[in-house]
Amino acid sequence: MSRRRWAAISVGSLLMPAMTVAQTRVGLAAATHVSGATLGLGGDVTLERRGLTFRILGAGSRPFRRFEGEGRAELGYQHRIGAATFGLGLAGIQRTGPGLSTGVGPVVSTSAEFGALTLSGNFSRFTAVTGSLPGFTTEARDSLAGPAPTGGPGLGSTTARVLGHLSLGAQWQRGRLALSGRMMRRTGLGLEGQRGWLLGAGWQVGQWTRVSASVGRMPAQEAVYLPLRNQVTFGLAFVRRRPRPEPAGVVTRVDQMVLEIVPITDGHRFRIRIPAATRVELNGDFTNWQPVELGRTEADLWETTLPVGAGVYHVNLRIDGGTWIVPAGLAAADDGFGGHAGVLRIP
Amino acid sequence: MWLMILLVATVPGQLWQQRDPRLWARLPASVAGQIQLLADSAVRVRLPAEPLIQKALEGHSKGAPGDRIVTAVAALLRALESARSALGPSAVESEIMAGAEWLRAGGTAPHLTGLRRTAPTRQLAAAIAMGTDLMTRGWTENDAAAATDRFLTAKATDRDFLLLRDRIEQAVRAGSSPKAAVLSEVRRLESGDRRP
Repeated sequence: MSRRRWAAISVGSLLMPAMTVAQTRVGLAAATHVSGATLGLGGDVTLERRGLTFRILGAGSRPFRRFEGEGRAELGYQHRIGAATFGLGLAGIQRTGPGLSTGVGPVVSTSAEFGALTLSGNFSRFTAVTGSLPGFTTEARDSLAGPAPTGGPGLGSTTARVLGHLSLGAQWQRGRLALSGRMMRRTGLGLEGQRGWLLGAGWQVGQWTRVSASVGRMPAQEAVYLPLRNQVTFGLAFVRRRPRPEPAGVVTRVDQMVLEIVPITDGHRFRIRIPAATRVELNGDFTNWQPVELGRTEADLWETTLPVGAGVYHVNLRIDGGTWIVPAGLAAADDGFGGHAGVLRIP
Repeated sequence: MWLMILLVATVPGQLWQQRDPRLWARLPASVAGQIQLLADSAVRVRLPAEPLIQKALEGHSKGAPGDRIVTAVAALLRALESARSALGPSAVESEIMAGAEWLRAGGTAPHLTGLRRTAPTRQLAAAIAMGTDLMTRGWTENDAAAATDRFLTAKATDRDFLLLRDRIEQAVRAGSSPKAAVLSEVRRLESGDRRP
């Protein structure tokens, strides 16, 4: 297959910003990308309820002087264990362009949160039935993607192909800034394990608006005769970010002086917002009453991770070396020493 | 029990069975020895010793003098013993600990026995803990026990109990009376609505 470089944009890249609204319970995202004379538009609606996820993605663009579009629907179930999620679903896909492609296949996804860092991976495998559109010449097709592989579709013909897509990514988010990186690998007839990568950055402008940009090298989309190519994208997304889902172990919300407990893989993360503090310590029976100093992760937000399981615990908090106090929101029990300890219940 | 405490305060330090290294590393030897004897006596009558060790470490961490630590640990041992008596010999460790918290929060043993009577076969730790939370937030023991009893009758699960405390507190903060908030939650559970 030809590996000519193209400064263009693909439907797949349009979907990337839309995919970032996976944290949107009910949302709509639109992205406009400009690369030369190419414009595209993408949308995403995701519905989640009790782990069941239904997502519709749609995108269209006009690269290579023609229209191409992609529609995709996914139905799946996501299960959360601690800070990790595991998902299994079924996706259907319809692509139009120089080649028509219709496919259906399983999608497996997983993600894990480590503070501001989220690691994710997904794998999909489609059995796609591909054909060609009338009026799209063999020369035009070959100039884009090289000659069709042996046994591939000729003009006016159709064939069934198994296409795989593996994607591993990381996203780091702090405040309004989000940085992301993703490695992709596509497999399928004629693709020979093509790899791609994408680096992106996003900035939340307001409650609903995000600007984003990315650079990368996209593997070929064989089904619609898009070649391996370099790309630069600029996006504007309108995203309703849902609040981060509240895991089962959350006892209280992050508020001033209120302790938040978030389950993670091997324990719990303790977070508390305390303005203008220079030192914050946590003490309790889960530390054998030896103070643990919290680290500052952002302005006024203090955090530590402890290997603590479910149970009932007594805790105190100390700010700047003062007296031991009960974190807000917890019941206070007489400690027998003239003070009180907070009663913390982790389910 | 008082005789036991007196003995603990006067016996020579070699009588403890198995040293808990956390005590001996952090507390003065005389205090650690007395706490160790209290913990050993708890083990002998099949009561949990870990809460006693933790209470001693808490006292040390908060700078309490040795005699105050021993007094607090002995009081906790008494509460554990009373809780087990109130809940019956089949009470498991988590129930005994929750019962001790109930008593230390100002509750009485007859109410604990009453809760056991309402639900003789299920684990009561989460239920008792919710009632204790309500008491520490200013509820009377009668109201807290009545609310806990109603939820047990409505077949509330442990997770329900965990969430109920917050839901009731939210309703009270929003202007509802405690009894009305409990009644509303009981109706919700009885209607089969288990949404968090």
